[in-house]
Amino acid sequence: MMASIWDKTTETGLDRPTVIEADDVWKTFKVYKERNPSLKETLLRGRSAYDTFWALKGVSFAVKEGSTLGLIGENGSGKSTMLKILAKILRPKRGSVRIDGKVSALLELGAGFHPDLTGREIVFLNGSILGLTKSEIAAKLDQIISFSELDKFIDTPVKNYSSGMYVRLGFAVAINVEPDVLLIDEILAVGDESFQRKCLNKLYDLKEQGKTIVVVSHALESVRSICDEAVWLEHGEMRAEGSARGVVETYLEEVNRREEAKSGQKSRDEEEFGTRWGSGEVKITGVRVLDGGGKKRRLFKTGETLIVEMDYEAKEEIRRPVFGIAIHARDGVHINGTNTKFSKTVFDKIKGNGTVKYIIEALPLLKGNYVLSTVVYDFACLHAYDHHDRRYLFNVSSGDLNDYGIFYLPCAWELKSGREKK
Amino acid sequence: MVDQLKSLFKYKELLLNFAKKELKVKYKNSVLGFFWSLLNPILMMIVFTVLFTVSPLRVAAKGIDNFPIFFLAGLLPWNFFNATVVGSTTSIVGNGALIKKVYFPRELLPISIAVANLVNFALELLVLIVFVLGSGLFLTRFLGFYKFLPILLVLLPILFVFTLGVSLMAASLNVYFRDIQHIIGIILMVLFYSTPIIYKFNPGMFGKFGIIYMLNPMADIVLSFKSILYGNADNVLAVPNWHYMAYSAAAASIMFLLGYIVFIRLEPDFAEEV
Repeated sequence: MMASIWDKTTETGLDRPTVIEADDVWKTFKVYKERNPSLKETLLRGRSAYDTFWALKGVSFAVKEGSTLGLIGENGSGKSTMLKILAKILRPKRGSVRIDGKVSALLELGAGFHPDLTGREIVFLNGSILGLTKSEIAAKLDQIISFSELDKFIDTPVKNYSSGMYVRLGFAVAINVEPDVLLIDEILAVGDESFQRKCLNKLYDLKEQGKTIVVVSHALESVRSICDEAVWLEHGEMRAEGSARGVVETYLEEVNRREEAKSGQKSRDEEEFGTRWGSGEVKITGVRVLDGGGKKRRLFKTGETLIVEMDYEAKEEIRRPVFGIAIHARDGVHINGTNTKFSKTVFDKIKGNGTVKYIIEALPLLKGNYVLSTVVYDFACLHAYDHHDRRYLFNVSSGDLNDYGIFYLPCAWELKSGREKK
Repeated sequence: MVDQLKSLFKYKELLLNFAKKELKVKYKNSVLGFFWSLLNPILMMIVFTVLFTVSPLRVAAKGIDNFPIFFLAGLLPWNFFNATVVGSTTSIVGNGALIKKVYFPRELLPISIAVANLVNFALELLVLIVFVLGSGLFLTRFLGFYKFLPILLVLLPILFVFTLGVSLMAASLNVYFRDIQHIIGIILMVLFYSTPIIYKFNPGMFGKFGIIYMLNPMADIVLSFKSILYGNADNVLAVPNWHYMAYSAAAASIMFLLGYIVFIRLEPDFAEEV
């Protein structure tokens, strides 16, 4: 289907050396009941009162040279803490971490440097933090400046920068210093759309060059496409590790399942969602939204297969019934309506129980929330046996696509340049 | 600790950049820039000369020849110490945003402040030396100073190492007890008056407590600076008392070890505590 430029993931070689190793890492944080550590209080009461919060509980993984690891999980799962431990910013309570080679970390850069310094001075300061000498930085200066797109402002004090400019500068340095190991927190939080693209392309280059990268991200699609492997953390524990695709799938399934469980109320509510009418000679007794593999799903990606199964029960013999489906956007737009008659599929007669399958080979819908109507009518389409109006929900994510709107329309572009007018 | 010091070597570029940043920020938006380092001692010299040789205040400096030089010879090393300790105390806490985001050896922050202040101090010292040479018969002054110059090259490292020890300790402890940044000014003020900077030290003046007085390493260091730059009681440049030098060298080493050990013990959790 939609080929992504990331599809060329490097094969996982067995012979390459392990460059990052986290061995049974535990980390606690103090949660102060009263954050006011002053000498007087400490003298009077001993250490100030705090609770211990375990941010990481025995996390282990290894990354081979040249491969890319994604750390995924919900907010507060400990993934950023893990990254900070890898970057030596935090020290693990127990366990150890080892990284071979020059490490460059990019952690939600924002403020940090003195606002009176110019962009150029920041580049040198930042570069030397990453362990480069003056001449090494000078050699890469042009590259860094052009990458950050700050040519005009490079000699302006950074206090006059916008936050986006600041982040671009930080990213430009971190990514252009040619580290052996690159640690990145939330890549997609960087700059505008086009800069993000540029960063992703640069990451891809680094990957091609055989650099080792660890990424923390909520953007599961980019994790799936950039990373070779992934680790899923939950409340500081490892829930899954392995191939990025596999781990992201498992994670998504779990999130969906949990969402459904959380709204267990809602799934019952779904029965009451929308309206239903009809004479009831045939009843639609169950509706399932499934993926190509036949698994129940709520979230689909543009281009995936979507199947709707309708169980019916006909108390008497019904001749030439018409089964129909309609898709609406949640905001009300009627996107499509079709039925077996329109599709020239005629079921001669039905009696008893059965299932009708409606298959969309490649879902053309873009990101959004949608709702299904399922109906069964007589052949004239005048008499409703059973009509479930806008009762079944499903969501779509656009995946790698940037298109906006409701539909994905495959297209091609051509350029025919005319002669210049004199 | 030796390993830690060795690994610092890899970061010398960053140390220089941090120190440069300190100096740049200090003189940013000032027309004269780093000339202020030269101008300051000149202006102080002028003020002291007016105050203590012309104005009625001169009675305060009675019995001390060349009082402005006498005073500056002690004040400049003290100012280096004072500015470095004060600056370092908040250096970790004040750079929290940086510490939470990138790794670098945290001691570079106080060390870079010491280095930046040392540059400043060296410039001031140059100006003072010009005054010293001009404050008496040039040839005798020049010969005297020429002879004692190498001692200055021993004395400066002693002052530097001692200052660094105090700074490392104050910087790291302040992360846990922010009270330190408030109390440090008062402690330094007490220390200022316990050091023979503004007044003439006379071994007998504290009686039995003279020994305790001299336990303050800054007293030994300042007296040694004064011997070279101002001279003995008769304003003749002289070799410092070797006891003072030896004691302050030992005290500086111990203070540095102590300060650095405390710093290294506390350092790994800075990112959580700042």
